Amino acid sequence: MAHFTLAVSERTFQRSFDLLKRNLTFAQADQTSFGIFVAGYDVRAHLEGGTIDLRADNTISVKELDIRWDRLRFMLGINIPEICVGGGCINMPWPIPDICLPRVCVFSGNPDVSISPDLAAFVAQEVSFTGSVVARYFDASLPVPSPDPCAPIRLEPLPSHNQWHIHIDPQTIDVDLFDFPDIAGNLIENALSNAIRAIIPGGFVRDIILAIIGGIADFIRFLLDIPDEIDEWLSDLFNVSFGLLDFIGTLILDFFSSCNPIYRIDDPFELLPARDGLIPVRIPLRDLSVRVNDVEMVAEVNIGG
Amino acid sequence: MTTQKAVLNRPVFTQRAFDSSALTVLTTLIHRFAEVGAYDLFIRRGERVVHRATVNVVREANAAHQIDVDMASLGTEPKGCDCGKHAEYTLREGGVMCFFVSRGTSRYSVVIEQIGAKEKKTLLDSAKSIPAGDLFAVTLVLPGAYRAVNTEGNAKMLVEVSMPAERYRVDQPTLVEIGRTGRFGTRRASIQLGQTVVFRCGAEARIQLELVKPHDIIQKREQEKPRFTVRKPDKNK
Repeated sequence: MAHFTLAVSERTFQRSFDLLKRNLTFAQADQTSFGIFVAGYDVRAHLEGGTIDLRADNTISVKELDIRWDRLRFMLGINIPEICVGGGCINMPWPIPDICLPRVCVFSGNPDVSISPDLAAFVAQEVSFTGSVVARYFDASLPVPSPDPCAPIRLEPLPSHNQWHIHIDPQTIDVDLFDFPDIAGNLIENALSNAIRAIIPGGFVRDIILAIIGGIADFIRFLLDIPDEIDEWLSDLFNVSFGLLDFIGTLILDFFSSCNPIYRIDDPFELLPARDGLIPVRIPLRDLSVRVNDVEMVAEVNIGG
Repeated sequence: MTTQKAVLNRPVFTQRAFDSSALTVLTTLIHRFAEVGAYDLFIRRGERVVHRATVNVVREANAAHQIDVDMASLGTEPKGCDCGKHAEYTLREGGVMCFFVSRGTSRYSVVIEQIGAKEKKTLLDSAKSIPAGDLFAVTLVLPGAYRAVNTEGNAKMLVEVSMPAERYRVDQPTLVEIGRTGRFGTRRASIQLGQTVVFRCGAEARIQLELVKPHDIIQKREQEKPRFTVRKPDKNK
Protein backbone atom coordinates (compact mmCIF):
# COMPACT_ATOMS: atom_id res chain seq x y z
CA MET A 1 0.00 0.00 0.00
CA ALA A 2 1.32 3.44 -1.05
CA HIS A 3 2.31 5.99 1.56
CA PHE A 4 0.42 8.79 -0.12
CA THR A 5 -2.59 8.89 -2.41
CA LEU A 6 -3.59 11.95 -4.38
CA ALA A 7 -6.87 12.26 -6.31
CA VAL A 8 -7.85 14.80 -8.96
CA SER A 9 -11.49 15.05 -9.89
CA GLU A 10 -12.54 14.64 -13.54
CA ARG A 11 -13.61 18.29 -13.68
CA THR A 12 -10.26 19.54 -12.41
CA PHE A 13 -8.49 17.20 -14.80
CA GLN A 14 -10.59 18.64 -17.65
CA ARG A 15 -9.60 22.19 -16.71
CA SER A 16 -5.95 21.22 -16.58
CA PHE A 17 -6.29 19.63 -20.00
CA ASP A 18 -7.99 22.78 -21.37
CA LEU A 19 -5.10 24.94 -20.15
CA LEU A 20 -2.58 22.63 -21.72
CA LYS A 21 -4.26 22.21 -25.09
CA ARG A 22 -4.98 25.94 -25.40
CA ASN A 23 -1.27 26.51 -25.66
CA LEU A 24 -0.72 24.05 -28.46
CA THR A 25 -0.10 26.09 -31.60
CA PHE A 26 1.92 24.93 -34.52
CA ALA A 27 3.24 26.26 -37.79
CA GLN A 28 4.68 24.33 -40.65
CA ALA A 29 5.67 25.04 -44.26
CA ASP A 30 6.93 22.73 -46.95
CA GLN A 31 6.76 22.20 -50.67
CA THR A 32 7.03 19.29 -53.06
CA SER A 33 7.99 19.23 -56.68
CA PHE A 34 5.76 17.31 -59.07
CA GLY A 35 7.76 17.88 -62.24
CA ILE A 36 5.84 20.51 -64.14
CA PHE A 37 4.51 22.14 -60.98
CA VAL A 38 5.51 22.77 -57.40
CA ALA A 39 2.91 22.60 -54.65
CA GLY A 40 3.42 23.62 -51.07
CA TYR A 41 1.75 24.85 -47.93
CA ASP A 42 2.34 27.32 -45.16
CA VAL A 43 0.07 26.63 -42.21
CA ARG A 44 -0.47 27.80 -38.67
CA ALA A 45 -3.11 26.38 -36.33
CA HIS A 46 -4.23 25.97 -32.75
CA LEU A 47 -6.59 23.66 -30.88
CA GLU A 48 -10.00 24.56 -29.51
CA GLY A 49 -13.00 22.85 -27.94
CA GLY A 50 -13.15 19.14 -27.42
CA THR A 51 -14.17 17.03 -24.46
CA ILE A 52 -12.11 14.73 -22.26
CA ASP A 53 -13.62 11.74 -20.57
CA LEU A 54 -11.99 9.63 -17.86
CA ARG A 55 -13.06 6.00 -18.20
CA ALA A 56 -13.32 3.13 -15.79
CA ASP A 57 -10.87 0.98 -17.76
CA ASN A 58 -7.93 3.30 -16.90
CA THR A 59 -8.12 5.12 -20.23
CA ILE A 60 -9.00 8.62 -21.25
CA SER A 61 -10.89 9.67 -24.34
CA VAL A 62 -10.49 13.06 -26.00
CA LYS A 63 -13.14 13.84 -28.61
CA GLU A 64 -13.85 16.52 -31.19
CA LEU A 65 -10.83 18.66 -30.54
CA ASP A 66 -11.05 21.33 -33.24
CA ILE A 67 -8.04 22.26 -35.33
CA ARG A 68 -8.48 25.96 -36.02
CA TRP A 69 -6.44 27.07 -38.98
CA ASP A 70 -5.14 30.58 -38.44
CA ARG A 71 -3.41 30.29 -41.78
CA LEU A 72 -3.67 27.58 -44.39
CA ARG A 73 -1.90 28.96 -47.40
CA PHE A 74 -1.68 26.70 -50.42
CA MET A 75 1.08 27.52 -52.87
CA LEU A 76 1.10 26.34 -56.44
CA GLY A 77 3.71 27.27 -59.00
CA ILE A 78 3.44 26.07 -62.56
CA ASN A 79 6.04 26.16 -65.26
CA ILE A 80 3.84 26.65 -68.31
CA PRO A 81 5.10 24.34 -71.06
CA GLU A 82 5.87 25.69 -74.50
CA ILE A 83 2.82 26.51 -76.55
CA CYS A 84 3.82 25.82 -80.14
CA VAL A 85 2.26 25.50 -83.57
CA GLY A 86 3.19 23.37 -86.53
CA GLY A 87 5.42 20.36 -86.21
CA GLY A 88 4.53 16.78 -86.99
CA CYS A 89 6.04 14.40 -89.51
CA ILE A 90 5.31 13.78 -93.18
CA ASN A 91 5.36 10.22 -94.42
CA MET A 92 7.53 10.17 -97.52
CA PRO A 93 7.63 7.39 -100.10
CA TRP A 94 10.52 4.93 -99.80
CA PRO A 95 13.50 5.46 -99.86
CA ILE A 96 13.04 9.01 -98.61
CA PRO A 97 12.96 9.10 -94.80
CA ASP A 98 10.04 10.75 -93.07
CA ILE A 99 10.48 14.47 -92.62
CA CYS A 100 9.58 16.05 -89.31
CA LEU A 101 8.64 19.70 -89.44
CA PRO A 102 10.05 22.19 -86.96
CA ARG A 103 7.65 23.86 -84.55
CA VAL A 104 7.30 27.56 -83.90
CA CYS A 105 6.50 28.59 -80.36
CA VAL A 106 4.05 31.27 -79.34
CA PHE A 107 6.15 32.61 -76.47
CA SER A 108 9.86 33.29 -76.56
CA GLY A 109 10.32 32.00 -73.00
CA ASN A 110 8.56 29.64 -70.67
CA PRO A 111 6.27 31.67 -68.47
CA ASP A 112 5.81 30.69 -64.85
CA VAL A 113 2.69 31.36 -62.85
CA SER A 114 2.18 30.96 -59.15
CA ILE A 115 -0.74 31.38 -56.81
CA SER A 116 -0.98 31.21 -53.03
CA PRO A 117 -4.59 31.43 -51.81
CA ASP A 118 -5.37 31.11 -48.10
CA LEU A 119 -7.85 28.27 -47.67
CA ALA A 120 -8.19 28.52 -43.90
CA ALA A 121 -11.83 29.53 -44.13
CA PHE A 122 -12.75 26.42 -46.08
CA VAL A 123 -11.37 23.70 -43.83
CA ALA A 124 -12.66 22.38 -40.54
CA GLN A 125 -11.01 19.42 -38.89
CA GLU A 126 -11.25 17.56 -35.64
CA VAL A 127 -8.87 15.39 -33.69
CA SER A 128 -9.85 12.61 -31.32
CA PHE A 129 -7.63 10.30 -29.38
CA THR A 130 -7.68 7.67 -26.69
CA GLY A 131 -4.86 6.98 -24.30
CA SER A 132 -3.91 6.79 -20.70
CA VAL A 133 -1.98 8.73 -18.09
CA VAL A 134 1.62 7.85 -17.29
CA ALA A 135 4.14 9.01 -14.72
CA ARG A 136 7.71 9.72 -15.80
CA TYR A 137 10.66 10.79 -13.72
CA PHE A 138 12.64 13.81 -14.81
CA ASP A 139 16.25 13.57 -13.68
CA ALA A 140 17.75 17.05 -13.89
CA SER A 141 21.28 15.64 -13.74
CA LEU A 142 20.91 13.92 -17.12
CA PRO A 143 21.84 15.90 -20.20
CA VAL A 144 19.07 17.12 -22.51
CA PRO A 145 19.03 15.09 -25.75
CA SER A 146 20.52 16.87 -28.72
CA PRO A 147 18.73 17.74 -30.88
CA ASP A 148 15.85 18.19 -28.51
CA PRO A 149 12.63 17.21 -30.33
CA CYS A 150 10.52 18.95 -27.70
CA ALA A 151 12.24 22.32 -27.95
CA PRO A 152 9.77 23.87 -30.46
CA ILE A 153 6.65 22.78 -28.58
CA ARG A 154 7.71 22.83 -24.92
CA LEU A 155 5.55 25.34 -23.04
CA GLU A 156 7.69 25.72 -19.92
CA PRO A 157 11.45 25.47 -19.63
CA LEU A 158 12.91 22.29 -18.22
CA PRO A 159 13.20 22.45 -14.38
CA SER A 160 16.57 22.73 -12.71
CA HIS A 161 15.66 20.02 -10.19
CA ASN A 162 14.16 16.55 -10.25
CA GLN A 163 10.45 16.15 -10.81
CA TRP A 164 7.76 13.57 -11.34
CA HIS A 165 5.80 14.33 -14.53
CA ILE A 166 2.30 13.06 -15.21
CA HIS A 167 1.58 12.95 -18.93
CA ILE A 168 -1.48 12.29 -21.00
CA ASP A 169 -0.27 9.49 -23.23
CA PRO A 170 -2.28 9.17 -26.48
CA GLN A 171 -2.29 5.70 -28.01
CA THR A 172 -4.38 6.18 -31.11
CA ILE A 173 -4.97 9.57 -32.71
CA ASP A 174 -7.62 10.16 -35.34
CA VAL A 175 -7.30 13.29 -37.44
CA ASP A 176 -10.06 14.17 -39.90
CA LEU A 177 -8.90 14.02 -43.48
CA PHE A 178 -8.69 17.29 -45.35
CA ASP A 179 -11.89 17.66 -47.29
CA PHE A 180 -11.91 20.85 -49.31
CA PRO A 181 -15.31 21.95 -50.60
CA ASP A 182 -16.04 22.78 -54.24
CA ILE A 183 -15.64 26.45 -53.47
CA ALA A 184 -11.96 25.97 -52.59
CA GLY A 185 -11.42 24.12 -55.86
CA ASN A 186 -13.16 26.93 -57.73
CA LEU A 187 -11.03 29.49 -55.94
CA ILE A 188 -7.84 27.79 -57.07
CA GLU A 189 -9.10 27.25 -60.60
CA ASN A 190 -10.08 30.91 -60.88
CA ALA A 191 -6.77 32.11 -59.46
CA LEU A 192 -4.87 29.88 -61.88
CA SER A 193 -7.05 30.93 -64.81
CA ASN A 194 -6.43 34.58 -64.04
CA ALA A 195 -2.70 33.98 -63.71
CA ILE A 196 -2.58 32.18 -67.06
CA ARG A 197 -4.82 34.78 -68.72
CA ALA A 198 -2.43 37.46 -67.51
CA ILE A 199 0.33 36.06 -69.71
CA ILE A 200 -1.88 35.80 -72.80
CA PRO A 201 -2.59 39.03 -74.66
CA GLY A 202 -6.18 39.93 -75.39
CA GLY A 203 -8.08 40.20 -78.66
CA PHE A 204 -8.23 37.45 -81.23
CA VAL A 205 -4.71 36.34 -80.22
CA ARG A 206 -6.23 35.13 -76.94
CA ASP A 207 -8.97 33.28 -78.82
CA ILE A 208 -6.35 31.57 -80.97
CA ILE A 209 -4.07 30.60 -78.09
CA LEU A 210 -7.02 29.30 -76.10
CA ALA A 211 -8.06 27.25 -79.12
CA ILE A 212 -4.56 25.78 -79.37
CA ILE A 213 -4.37 24.87 -75.68
CA GLY A 214 -7.98 23.70 -75.60
CA GLY A 215 -9.30 26.29 -73.14
CA ILE A 216 -7.84 27.29 -69.80
CA ALA A 217 -9.82 24.79 -67.71
CA ASP A 218 -8.62 21.89 -69.86
CA PHE A 219 -5.13 23.32 -69.90
CA ILE A 220 -5.06 23.47 -66.10
CA ARG A 221 -6.25 19.87 -65.87
CA PHE A 222 -3.56 18.89 -68.35
CA LEU A 223 -0.86 20.76 -66.41
CA LEU A 224 -1.86 19.35 -63.05
CA ASP A 225 -2.68 15.94 -64.47
CA ILE A 226 -6.03 15.80 -62.68
CA PRO A 227 -8.79 13.69 -64.15
CA ASP A 228 -11.73 15.05 -62.19
CA GLU A 229 -12.51 17.75 -59.68
CA ILE A 230 -9.79 20.11 -58.52
CA ASP A 231 -11.07 20.06 -54.91
CA GLU A 232 -10.56 16.29 -54.75
CA TRP A 233 -7.07 16.72 -56.14
CA LEU A 234 -6.39 19.40 -53.53
CA SER A 235 -7.63 17.16 -50.71
CA ASP A 236 -5.39 14.34 -51.94
CA LEU A 237 -2.41 16.67 -51.96
CA PHE A 238 -2.94 17.62 -48.31
CA ASN A 239 -3.92 14.13 -47.17
CA VAL A 240 -1.29 12.11 -48.97
CA SER A 241 1.44 14.01 -50.77
CA PHE A 242 2.25 16.65 -48.19
CA GLY A 243 2.31 14.29 -45.19
CA LEU A 244 0.64 17.02 -43.13
CA LEU A 245 -1.70 14.59 -41.33
CA ASP A 246 1.25 12.57 -40.17
CA PHE A 247 2.87 15.77 -38.95
CA ILE A 248 -0.26 16.75 -36.96
CA GLY A 249 -0.59 13.28 -35.44
CA THR A 250 3.06 13.16 -34.42
CA LEU A 251 2.90 16.68 -33.05
CA ILE A 252 -0.09 15.93 -30.80
CA LEU A 253 1.54 12.73 -29.65
CA ASP A 254 4.80 14.45 -28.76
CA PHE A 255 3.11 17.49 -27.25
CA PHE A 256 1.13 15.52 -24.68
CA SER A 257 3.08 12.34 -24.13
CA SER A 258 6.68 13.60 -24.10
CA CYS A 259 7.04 17.34 -23.99
CA ASN A 260 4.36 18.86 -21.75
CA PRO A 261 3.20 17.12 -18.59
CA ILE A 262 -0.28 17.88 -17.33
CA TYR A 263 1.00 17.83 -13.73
CA ARG A 264 4.45 18.20 -12.15
CA ILE A 265 5.50 17.17 -8.64
CA ASP A 266 8.88 18.21 -7.26
CA ASP A 267 11.16 15.53 -5.88
CA PRO A 268 11.93 15.96 -3.04
CA PHE A 269 8.53 17.44 -2.32
CA GLU A 270 8.52 20.39 0.04
CA LEU A 271 6.13 19.73 2.92
CA LEU A 272 7.11 22.82 4.95
CA PRO A 273 9.00 25.84 3.70
CA ALA A 274 12.04 27.27 5.45
CA ARG A 275 10.88 29.38 8.38
CA ASP A 276 12.32 31.05 11.48
CA GLY A 277 15.83 29.92 10.67
CA LEU A 278 14.76 26.32 10.18
CA ILE A 279 15.49 24.43 6.97
CA PRO A 280 12.53 23.37 4.81
CA VAL A 281 11.00 19.95 5.30
CA ARG A 282 11.28 17.92 2.10
CA ILE A 283 10.37 14.30 1.47
CA PRO A 284 11.72 12.19 -1.36
CA LEU A 285 9.03 10.62 -3.57
CA ARG A 286 9.49 7.12 -4.95
CA ASP A 287 7.49 4.83 -7.21
CA LEU A 288 4.84 7.28 -8.36
CA SER A 289 2.05 5.48 -10.19
CA VAL A 290 -0.99 7.03 -11.76
CA ARG A 291 -4.30 5.70 -13.06
CA VAL A 292 -7.79 6.95 -13.88
CA ASN A 293 -11.29 5.71 -13.24
CA ASP A 294 -14.54 7.19 -14.45
CA VAL A 295 -14.61 9.95 -11.81
CA GLU A 296 -11.02 10.91 -11.02
CA MET A 297 -7.32 10.56 -11.58
CA VAL A 298 -5.48 8.82 -8.75
CA ALA A 299 -1.74 9.11 -8.08
CA GLU A 300 0.01 6.94 -5.50
CA VAL A 301 3.53 7.50 -4.21
CA ASN A 302 5.90 6.12 -1.60
CA ILE A 303 8.26 8.06 0.58
CA GLY A 304 11.72 6.71 0.18
CA GLY A 305 15.31 7.51 1.03
CA MET B 1 0.05 35.92 -56.72
CA THR B 2 2.96 36.57 -59.02
CA THR B 3 3.22 36.04 -62.73
CA GLN B 4 6.28 35.97 -64.89
CA LYS B 5 5.51 37.40 -68.27
CA ALA B 6 6.87 35.76 -71.38
CA VAL B 7 7.38 37.65 -74.60
CA LEU B 8 4.78 36.93 -77.24
CA ASN B 9 6.09 35.85 -80.63
CA ARG B 10 3.95 38.50 -82.25
CA PRO B 11 4.76 37.86 -85.94
CA VAL B 12 3.10 34.46 -85.55
CA PHE B 13 -0.20 36.31 -85.22
CA THR B 14 0.34 39.08 -87.71
CA GLN B 15 1.63 37.20 -90.76
CA ARG B 16 -1.19 37.02 -93.31
CA ALA B 17 0.71 36.43 -96.55
CA PHE B 18 3.39 33.86 -97.27
CA ASP B 19 5.70 33.46 -100.21
CA SER B 20 8.22 30.73 -100.93
CA SER B 21 10.50 33.34 -102.45
CA ALA B 22 10.68 35.27 -99.16
CA LEU B 23 10.73 32.88 -96.24
CA THR B 24 9.19 34.33 -93.11
CA VAL B 25 8.07 33.07 -89.73
CA LEU B 26 5.72 30.05 -90.03
CA THR B 27 7.22 28.93 -93.36
CA THR B 28 9.64 26.06 -93.88
CA LEU B 29 11.57 25.18 -96.98
CA ILE B 30 12.73 21.59 -97.22
CA HIS B 31 15.46 20.70 -99.67
CA ARG B 32 16.51 17.13 -100.37
CA PHE B 33 20.10 16.32 -101.20
CA ALA B 34 19.81 13.33 -103.50
CA GLU B 35 23.46 13.00 -104.46
CA VAL B 36 26.65 12.53 -102.52
CA GLY B 37 28.97 15.50 -102.76
CA ALA B 38 29.81 18.92 -101.44
CA TYR B 39 27.42 21.86 -101.63
CA ASP B 40 27.67 25.55 -100.89
CA LEU B 41 24.86 26.99 -98.85
CA PHE B 42 24.03 30.69 -98.68
CA ILE B 43 21.28 32.15 -96.56
CA ARG B 44 20.22 35.71 -97.20
CA ARG B 45 18.27 38.03 -94.99
CA GLY B 46 16.80 40.44 -97.50
CA GLU B 47 19.66 41.00 -99.93
CA ARG B 48 22.43 40.32 -97.47
CA VAL B 49 24.12 36.96 -96.99
CA VAL B 50 23.99 36.21 -93.27
CA HIS B 51 25.21 32.63 -93.31
CA ARG B 52 27.54 30.56 -95.46
CA ALA B 53 28.16 26.89 -95.08
CA THR B 54 29.35 23.76 -96.79
CA VAL B 55 27.02 20.81 -96.80
CA ASN B 56 28.81 17.49 -97.13
CA VAL B 57 26.47 14.77 -98.28
CA VAL B 58 27.92 11.36 -97.47
CA ARG B 59 26.96 7.70 -97.60
CA GLU B 60 27.71 6.99 -93.92
CA ALA B 61 24.64 5.62 -92.24
CA ASN B 62 25.36 7.43 -88.99
CA ALA B 63 25.15 10.86 -90.62
CA ALA B 64 22.00 12.87 -89.96
CA HIS B 65 19.15 12.44 -92.41
CA GLN B 66 17.56 15.73 -91.41
CA ILE B 67 19.08 19.01 -90.31
CA ASP B 68 16.88 21.90 -89.16
CA VAL B 69 18.25 25.39 -89.64
CA ASP B 70 16.50 28.19 -87.78
CA MET B 71 17.39 31.14 -89.96
CA ALA B 72 16.25 33.60 -87.28
CA SER B 73 19.11 32.43 -85.08
CA LEU B 74 21.73 33.05 -87.77
CA GLY B 75 23.69 36.27 -88.02
CA THR B 76 22.87 37.30 -84.49
CA GLU B 77 26.26 38.90 -84.03
CA PRO B 78 26.39 42.69 -83.83
CA LYS B 79 27.35 42.99 -87.50
CA GLY B 80 24.21 41.08 -88.46
CA CYS B 81 25.98 38.20 -90.18
CA ASP B 82 28.23 35.26 -89.44
CA CYS B 83 30.85 37.25 -91.29
CA GLY B 84 34.04 35.34 -92.01
CA LYS B 85 32.78 32.18 -90.33
CA HIS B 86 32.24 29.10 -92.36
CA ALA B 87 29.89 26.49 -91.01
CA GLU B 88 29.79 22.91 -92.13
CA TYR B 89 26.97 20.39 -92.10
CA THR B 90 27.19 16.67 -92.77
CA LEU B 91 24.13 14.96 -94.13
CA ARG B 92 23.33 11.44 -95.22
CA GLU B 93 22.70 10.83 -98.92
CA GLY B 94 19.03 11.48 -99.63
CA GLY B 95 18.69 13.52 -96.44
CA VAL B 96 16.97 16.87 -96.11
CA MET B 97 17.65 20.30 -94.68
CA CYS B 98 14.70 22.21 -93.26
CA PHE B 99 15.09 25.98 -93.36
CA PHE B 100 12.62 27.76 -91.11
CA VAL B 101 12.16 31.02 -89.26
CA SER B 102 11.16 30.79 -85.60
CA ARG B 103 10.65 34.49 -84.88
CA GLY B 104 11.02 38.01 -86.18
CA THR B 105 9.76 39.76 -89.26
CA SER B 106 12.75 39.27 -91.56
CA ARG B 107 12.51 37.61 -94.96
CA TYR B 108 15.02 34.99 -95.95
CA SER B 109 16.08 33.14 -99.06
CA VAL B 110 18.28 30.11 -99.55
CA VAL B 111 20.76 29.31 -102.29
CA ILE B 112 22.32 25.88 -102.66
CA GLU B 113 25.05 25.23 -105.21
CA GLN B 114 26.56 21.90 -106.05
CA ILE B 115 30.33 22.11 -106.19
CA GLY B 116 31.35 20.23 -109.31
CA ALA B 117 34.79 19.48 -110.76
CA LYS B 118 34.64 22.41 -113.16
CA GLU B 119 31.74 24.62 -112.26
CA LYS B 120 29.08 25.28 -109.68
CA LYS B 121 25.54 24.29 -110.41
CA THR B 122 22.72 26.13 -108.64
CA LEU B 123 20.25 23.58 -107.34
CA LEU B 124 18.08 25.94 -105.35
CA ASP B 125 17.54 29.66 -105.32
CA SER B 126 14.40 30.07 -103.29
CA ALA B 127 14.11 33.76 -104.18
CA LYS B 128 13.30 32.64 -107.72
CA SER B 129 11.60 29.29 -107.35
CA ILE B 130 11.59 25.95 -105.59
CA PRO B 131 12.91 23.04 -107.65
CA ALA B 132 10.99 19.82 -108.22
CA GLY B 133 11.40 17.43 -105.28
CA ASP B 134 11.54 20.14 -102.63
CA LEU B 135 8.78 20.93 -100.16
CA PHE B 136 7.36 24.18 -98.87
CA ALA B 137 5.44 24.14 -95.61
CA VAL B 138 3.29 26.86 -94.13
CA THR B 139 1.83 26.79 -90.65
CA LEU B 140 -1.39 28.77 -90.63
CA VAL B 141 -2.32 30.33 -87.34
CA LEU B 142 -4.97 32.85 -88.30
CA PRO B 143 -8.27 31.13 -89.06
CA GLY B 144 -10.02 31.91 -92.34
CA ALA B 145 -9.73 31.17 -96.03
CA TYR B 146 -6.37 31.43 -97.78
CA ARG B 147 -5.80 31.59 -101.50
CA ALA B 148 -2.78 29.53 -102.54
CA VAL B 149 -1.15 30.28 -105.86
CA ASN B 150 1.66 28.62 -107.77
CA THR B 151 2.86 31.43 -110.00
CA GLU B 152 5.09 29.08 -111.98
CA GLY B 153 2.17 26.83 -112.89
CA ASN B 154 -0.56 29.45 -112.92
CA ALA B 155 -2.53 27.32 -110.47
CA LYS B 156 -4.78 28.22 -107.55
CA MET B 157 -6.35 26.46 -104.64
CA LEU B 158 -8.10 27.30 -101.39
CA VAL B 159 -6.86 26.43 -97.92
CA GLU B 160 -9.47 26.72 -95.19
CA VAL B 161 -8.25 27.12 -91.63
CA SER B 162 -10.97 26.53 -89.07
CA MET B 163 -11.29 27.07 -85.33
CA PRO B 164 -11.24 23.70 -83.60
CA ALA B 165 -14.47 22.57 -82.00
CA GLU B 166 -12.69 20.36 -79.49
CA ARG B 167 -9.23 19.42 -78.32
CA TYR B 168 -6.97 18.62 -81.25
CA ARG B 169 -3.33 18.25 -82.24
CA VAL B 170 -1.42 20.89 -84.14
CA ASP B 171 1.30 18.45 -85.20
CA GLN B 172 -0.70 16.83 -88.00
CA PRO B 173 0.40 18.33 -91.31
CA THR B 174 -1.60 18.05 -94.51
CA LEU B 175 0.30 17.19 -97.69
CA VAL B 176 -0.66 18.82 -101.00
CA GLU B 177 1.00 17.51 -104.17
CA ILE B 178 1.95 19.84 -106.98
CA GLY B 179 1.95 17.89 -110.23
CA ARG B 180 4.43 18.05 -113.08
CA THR B 181 2.23 20.61 -114.78
CA GLY B 182 2.41 22.86 -111.72
CA ARG B 183 -1.23 22.23 -110.78
CA PHE B 184 -2.22 21.56 -107.22
CA GLY B 185 -3.37 18.03 -106.54
CA THR B 186 -6.52 19.34 -104.90
CA ARG B 187 -8.65 22.48 -105.20
CA ARG B 188 -9.37 22.76 -101.53
CA ALA B 189 -7.66 21.72 -98.32
CA SER B 190 -8.96 22.07 -94.78
CA ILE B 191 -6.85 22.28 -91.67
CA GLN B 192 -7.30 23.62 -88.16
CA LEU B 193 -5.44 26.62 -86.87
CA GLY B 194 -1.84 26.00 -85.91
CA GLN B 195 -1.56 23.05 -88.28
CA THR B 196 0.66 22.96 -91.33
CA VAL B 197 -0.01 22.54 -95.01
CA VAL B 198 2.94 21.08 -96.92
CA PHE B 199 3.32 21.52 -100.67
CA ARG B 200 5.44 18.87 -102.37
CA CYS B 201 6.68 20.19 -105.66
CA GLY B 202 6.52 17.84 -108.63
CA ALA B 203 7.76 20.70 -110.79
CA GLU B 204 9.49 24.01 -110.29
CA ALA B 205 7.19 26.21 -108.25
CA ARG B 206 6.77 29.48 -106.46
CA ILE B 207 4.03 29.30 -103.92
CA GLN B 208 2.17 32.18 -102.36
CA LEU B 209 -0.59 32.09 -99.77
CA GLU B 210 -2.71 34.97 -98.66
CA LEU B 211 -5.49 35.29 -96.13
CA VAL B 212 -8.39 36.46 -98.26
CA LYS B 213 -11.27 35.91 -95.86
CA PRO B 214 -10.39 36.12 -92.18
CA HIS B 215 -12.51 34.16 -89.73
CA ASP B 216 -15.21 36.06 -87.89
CA ILE B 217 -13.20 36.16 -84.64
CA ILE B 218 -10.51 38.23 -86.33
CA GLN B 219 -12.92 40.59 -88.08
CA LYS B 220 -15.08 40.94 -85.00
CA ARG B 221 -12.15 41.63 -82.71
CA GLU B 222 -10.71 44.16 -85.12
CA GLN B 223 -14.03 45.98 -85.23
CA GLU B 224 -14.16 45.93 -81.45
CA LYS B 225 -11.02 48.02 -81.09
CA PRO B 226 -11.88 50.98 -78.89
CA ARG B 227 -11.55 54.40 -80.45
CA PHE B 228 -11.66 57.93 -79.22
CA THR B 229 -12.88 60.44 -81.74
CA VAL B 230 -12.49 64.20 -81.54
CA ARG B 231 -14.54 66.26 -83.94
CA LYS B 232 -13.65 69.74 -85.03
CA PRO B 233 -16.27 72.15 -83.73
CA ASP B 234 -18.53 73.59 -86.37
CA LYS B 235 -17.76 77.34 -86.44
CA ASN B 236 -21.07 78.17 -88.11
CA LYS B 237 -22.93 76.94 -85.03
